[in-house]
Amino acid sequence: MERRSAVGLVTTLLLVAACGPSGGETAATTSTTSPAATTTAVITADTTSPTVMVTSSTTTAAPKQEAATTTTSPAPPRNLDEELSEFDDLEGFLDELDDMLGNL
Amino acid sequence: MKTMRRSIILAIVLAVTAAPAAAFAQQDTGGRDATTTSTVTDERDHRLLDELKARALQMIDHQLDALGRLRSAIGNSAHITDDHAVQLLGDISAAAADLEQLAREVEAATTVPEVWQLIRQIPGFQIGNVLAPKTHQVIASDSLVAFGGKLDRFAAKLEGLITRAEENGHDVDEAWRMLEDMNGQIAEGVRSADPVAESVIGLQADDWPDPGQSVLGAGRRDLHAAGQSLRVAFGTGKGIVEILRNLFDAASDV
Repeated sequence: MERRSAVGLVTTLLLVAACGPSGGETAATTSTTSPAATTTAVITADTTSPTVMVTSSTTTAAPKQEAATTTTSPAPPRNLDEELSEFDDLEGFLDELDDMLGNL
Repeated sequence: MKTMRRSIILAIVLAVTAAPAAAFAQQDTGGRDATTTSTVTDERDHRLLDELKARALQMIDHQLDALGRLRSAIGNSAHITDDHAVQLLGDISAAAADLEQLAREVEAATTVPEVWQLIRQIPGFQIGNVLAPKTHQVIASDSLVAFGGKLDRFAAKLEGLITRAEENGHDVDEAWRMLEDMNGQIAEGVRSADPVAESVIGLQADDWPDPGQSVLGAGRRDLHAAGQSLRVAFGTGKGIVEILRNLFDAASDV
C-alpha cells in the first residue's frame, strides 16, 4: 500500500515537473523510472516547439535548466571557403564570358 | 638605137617586176608584226586569268578558314547546348560545301569574265556578317544561361549559410536583403540572355542586311546587358560571403 502511494507520488511529481515549468521550452525528456511520464513529456515538447532537434536526457525529471542543456543549434561552418569551394570557378567563368562578349 | 630600145624594155620589165616584189615584201613584214602582237596579248590574258583565279581561290580559302574557326569555337564551348551546336555545325558545313564547289568552278574557268563572276559570289555567303556573329551570339547566350544557373546554386548555398547564421543568433538582415537583390539580378540576366540564341540561330545569308542586321544588333545589346546583370549578381554574392565571413569569424573568436 505504501509502495503504491510512493509510486503514485513520484509519477505525479514527474508529470508536474515535465509539464509545468518547462512547458514552453525546447526539450523532450525521458525518464528511467516512469514510462507514463516520458510519454507525456514528449508530447508536450512536440506540440510546443516542433522545430527543435530532440535529444535524450537521462535525468528523471526535466526542469527548465535541463531542457536548455539538451537543445542543439546549427553550428557555424568551420571553414567558409571550404563550404563554397564548388563555386571557386565562378570568377574564371566570368572572365571567360567577358572575353566572349568582347568578341561579339 | 637598137640598144636604147633594149634598155627601155629592160627598165619596164624591172619596174613591172620590182614594184610588186617590194609590195609583197612590205606585206610580209606587216604580217609578222601582227602575229607577234597577238602572241603577247594571249600571254598577258593567260597570266591575268591565272592571277585572278589564284586571288579567287585565296578569298575562298580565307572564308573556309573562318568557318574552321567557328567550328573550333563550337567544339571548345563547354556550355553550348547540343541542339544549338548541331544546328550551327550544319550551317557551317553547308557553307563550306558551297565554297568548295565555287573553288572547283574557279579552277575550271577559262576566261577572265568567268572568274570575275565567280568572285562576285563570295561575299554573298555573308560569313562575316551573319554566320560568324550568330555563332558567337549563340555560344554567348548559352554560356550566360549556364553561368546564371551556377549563380542560382551559389545563391541557394548562401541562403543556407545565412539561415545557419540566423539560427546562431546573428543579425543577418542585410545578408537577406542582398540575397534578394542577387536573385533578382540573376533572373534579369538569364531573362536577357536566354532568348538571344533562338532569335539569331535561324538567320541565313539571305537575311542580310534585313532583318539580320537589326536582329544581331539587338542580340548583341541583350547579351551585354545580361553579362552586366550577372556580373552584378556575382558581386552581390561575394558581398554576402564577406558578411558571413565576418559573422563567423566573430563567433569563433568568442
